[in-house]
Amino acid sequence: MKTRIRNAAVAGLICGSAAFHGCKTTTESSEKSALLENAEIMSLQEWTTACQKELAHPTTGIAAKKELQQVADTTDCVAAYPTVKGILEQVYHRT
Amino acid sequence: MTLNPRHPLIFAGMLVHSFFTSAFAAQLPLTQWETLAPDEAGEARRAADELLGQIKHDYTDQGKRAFRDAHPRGIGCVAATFTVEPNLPLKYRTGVFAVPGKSYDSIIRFSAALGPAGDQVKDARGMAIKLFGVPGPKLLDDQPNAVTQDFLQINARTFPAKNTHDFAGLVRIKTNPLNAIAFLRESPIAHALVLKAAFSLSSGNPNNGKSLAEMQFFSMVPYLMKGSSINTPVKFTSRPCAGVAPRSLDGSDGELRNDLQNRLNEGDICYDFLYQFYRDGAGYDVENGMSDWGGDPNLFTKFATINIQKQTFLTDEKLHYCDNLSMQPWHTLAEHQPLGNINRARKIIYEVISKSRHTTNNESNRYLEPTSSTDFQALRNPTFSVWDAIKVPAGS
Repeated sequence: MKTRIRNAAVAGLICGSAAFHGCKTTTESSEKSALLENAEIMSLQEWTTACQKELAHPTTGIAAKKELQQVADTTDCVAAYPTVKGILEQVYHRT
Repeated sequence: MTLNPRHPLIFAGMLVHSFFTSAFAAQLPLTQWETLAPDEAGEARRAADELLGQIKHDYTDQGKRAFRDAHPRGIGCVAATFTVEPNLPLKYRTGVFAVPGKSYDSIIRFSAALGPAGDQVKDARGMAIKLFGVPGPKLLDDQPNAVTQDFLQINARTFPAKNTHDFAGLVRIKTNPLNAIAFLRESPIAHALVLKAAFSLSSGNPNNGKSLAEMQFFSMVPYLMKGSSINTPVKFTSRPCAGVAPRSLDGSDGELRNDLQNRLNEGDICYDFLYQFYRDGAGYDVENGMSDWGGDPNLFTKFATINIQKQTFLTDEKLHYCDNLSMQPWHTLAEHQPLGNINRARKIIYEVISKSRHTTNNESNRYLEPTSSTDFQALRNPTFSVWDAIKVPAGS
């Protein structure tokens, strides 16, 4: 499965930043937009592999499990992915 | 090309600013509840450099007044009194609480953590209290003789990062959102939790849309309470006194300011100042900024009453004065020493940024830590236009 978290929130991000910068430097904003638009944050596969590796860690796995529960109300890495994706989208959109 | 977008991530609230030298670990011995993290001073210094770069990008390079990196928007400063509980138990009578019934002159700065466009923007809010007339040596290196004691708070119970390392990661994301990729890859679960906390603190803060008079503010991270009969980590909070009437905000850029001014046109505003004590075996972690000690009201003990008297604070002069103040957790007596690596980092970061800000604004030669609120209260010009128009960062 190739679901990917894409930072499609370019407008939101840049214009969110615009609240700070005023979106006045259009050239710079466009360059940022292009970069951000193409940014791939983390695929489901990458997330799941890394997440499961953390959970399986002999010394920190239990703590990681508790943290995953706090993040997504689940200890299943695949099930947690939509929540993590949502967090990233919120961060970028600042909705 | 330099990619340096200002990111809305709000972890900001907290940090507050300032950095500095290498003395941090050396200066004070760690308490029994503290552990030095690897390279935490280096992490703090690098975060400070990053924040200075952001300030340069946002203000200095554009010839604008430099605001704080965090809590740049001063919603307003108000004069207040901070009165120690008259019947405070003997064991708690230490530091600024040594004399029951003693009343301190003070200034409170309300702020927005990122505070870009206005009060209606979802954000974390800060309440920083500066007491005056506090004798005794202070822990801030270059102001040991200051007569002030600061208490910094935000309207959330915990900091959005466990430690300086994670905080530095948030700073990098603030500089460039694409850094979130590396941040998440470094520690996927733990850093997802940090990002969630950062969002919950700002845009997701349940206090958004509420009056400052109705909000409870928290120290987020622990401090020491040390006296002849007590030696323990604590967290403090300012909780609205009973009977505060809920009111709808007006939805404008200045909705929090307007509400506060309207309330202060009519009468006083009051908060109870309380402490929560560290409990062994309760899972409290002094080194973890995200360690939640719980919000059960029964866990808190009242130490003082904050009274904000009827006044006019919404003027250019007062907002300017307010912006020049330095609010810093290390403006403190040793009896209230800040604890944990987030606080140790704040010492470094705040100091660097405060100095840079005042130098940039050509006010470094004028800024002296005030000794009372007299000068502030003497500002009588009612004009409110220049600072009403300022959006932070300036010019936005």
